[in-house]
Amino acid sequence: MSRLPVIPALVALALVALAGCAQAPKATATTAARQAAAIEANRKGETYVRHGELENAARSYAEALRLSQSLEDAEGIAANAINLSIVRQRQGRFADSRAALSAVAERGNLRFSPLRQAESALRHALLELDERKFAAAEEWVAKAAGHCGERCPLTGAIHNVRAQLALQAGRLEAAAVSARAAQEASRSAGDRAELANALRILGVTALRAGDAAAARAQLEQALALDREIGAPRKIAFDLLALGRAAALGGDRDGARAYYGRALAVSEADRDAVAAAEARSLLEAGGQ
Amino acid sequence: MNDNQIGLRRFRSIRKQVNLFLLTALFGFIGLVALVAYKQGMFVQHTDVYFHAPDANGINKGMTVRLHGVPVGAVRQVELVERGVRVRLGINNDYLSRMPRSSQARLSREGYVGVASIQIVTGAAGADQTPVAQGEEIRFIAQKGMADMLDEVRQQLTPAFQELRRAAAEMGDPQSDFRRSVTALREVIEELPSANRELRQLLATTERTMKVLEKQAESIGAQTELTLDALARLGTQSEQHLPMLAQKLGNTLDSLNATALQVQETTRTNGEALREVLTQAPELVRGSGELVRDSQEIAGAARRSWLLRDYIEPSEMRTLPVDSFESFGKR
Repeated sequence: MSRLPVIPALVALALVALAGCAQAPKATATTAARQAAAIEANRKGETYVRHGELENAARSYAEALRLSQSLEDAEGIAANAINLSIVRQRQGRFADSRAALSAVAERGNLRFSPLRQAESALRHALLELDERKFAAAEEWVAKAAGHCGERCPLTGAIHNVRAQLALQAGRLEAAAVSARAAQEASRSAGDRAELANALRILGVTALRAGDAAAARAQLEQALALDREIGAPRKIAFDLLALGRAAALGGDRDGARAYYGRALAVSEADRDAVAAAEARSLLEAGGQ
Repeated sequence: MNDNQIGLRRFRSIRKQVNLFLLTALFGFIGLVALVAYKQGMFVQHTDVYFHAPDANGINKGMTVRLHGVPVGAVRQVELVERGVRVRLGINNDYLSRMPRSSQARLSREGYVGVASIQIVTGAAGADQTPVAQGEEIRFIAQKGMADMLDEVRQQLTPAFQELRRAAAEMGDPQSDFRRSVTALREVIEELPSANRELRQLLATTERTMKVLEKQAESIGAQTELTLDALARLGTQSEQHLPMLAQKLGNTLDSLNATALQVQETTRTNGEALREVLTQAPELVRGSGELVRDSQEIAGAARRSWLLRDYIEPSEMRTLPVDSFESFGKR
């Protein structure tokens, strides 16, 4: 007699517990699902980039950006906008690349981290540089440096862009100074890609200054790093520059060997521009 | 001064000289003995190792024991035991580590008339490689003498000689198989000239037969010609009957045409069914998409559940590295 009321009480308790489980807020579940979908699209984009499928990558990043925007996720918006911008620039679609970066512009309700803003500004600078708008590029680099402050993960890249701008302006000394600063910053940050970029710029600077031996030394280091990282486009560039340095030093056979290697690498990487350049240099007899 | 006094004075110091001479001789003798003892290895520590041999022929006390040709000891003692002799070898301790327990002793001689010695043959790689110790025994490989070897050769050759003798006896026996075979062979050889003559006759007969056959073939050719004429006539008749056959073929084609029409009708019906399927395909695709989405949601929910979320790597947005070289190579 005493047991009978206990069972219904237990059943009622179990039902209440189940109801508690079922009462998870629907909005949270939807948010999490959308967040997961955005991350999924982001990962897909990364995979497509790795396989060189730029159009599919852009589609995935655009989808990830849309989902992040729908959630007002500042970090997601910045990450996917920058990724989309990179992909569009690689496709040569500069307007689309710039449009993608507009998503990172400061708004009332969204606050982007200084690093993201620095990344976005640097991306703008690279776009301007690509379109040979050097003055605008200088402005964006200054903005990136402002967001970055004294030292941030982008310091090496910022110095390298400055070095490139100086190189474009023919200021070899300034280019070398910026490249050395980039070399130091990227070495202390452990950023091998930017370290290789700095060494490459130093090599090109030495090449333009007519110092074949210094150019070869710097470019050999850059080549070694690029081979470690696995960046075929940069490897081809290094080899072409090394060929020019060899030619400058009077080593025409060495130059031809470098051009041949550059041709092989660029053909394997399906880089038609670099391949054409290597071929023309080879036809010119390694000059 | 008399002669006696003079003689005493003369031999006064000879005693000392004689003593000196004897002492020198004694020292010389002792030195010689020491040298011989040294040469014999008296001052070297030895370990006694034994082996048993069926007899002591060729084995003498003091005989050198050699390991890979190097003297490593000597035969110390040869004693008679129950079934042969027991030989004690004194092995120089310096070489003991190179003499494993699996070693075997063998009486060997430098050439046929050279000095005999006991040769130590070390065991194979897989055998016991522990160095032999004091008082242990090794095996002895008995040397075969010339008489033994001759006896062995004789034993091996005897059956062969017996076989040879039996064969010779069989060849000499007129009733043996060999002699019969030789007789038969001789008879065959004697019959060869007559066989040759018969063969020639056979060839001549064959030639005549061939000529007859040629004549018959000519007659068969004529008959074949006649047959072909008959076939030609048959062809003419067939030509006459061909329209009738063509008409029949036309009827067959008509029926085939009807069949084709039926096939066409069936295909059209199937096409409609296919169109129906295609109409429904988008709906199916949508359904599949929903199914996939549902699966993804279920998987997502499972990932977020308290059971699994601790074991799954937290997902976050990834950014491609901002590379300052992005536009460098294009200029």
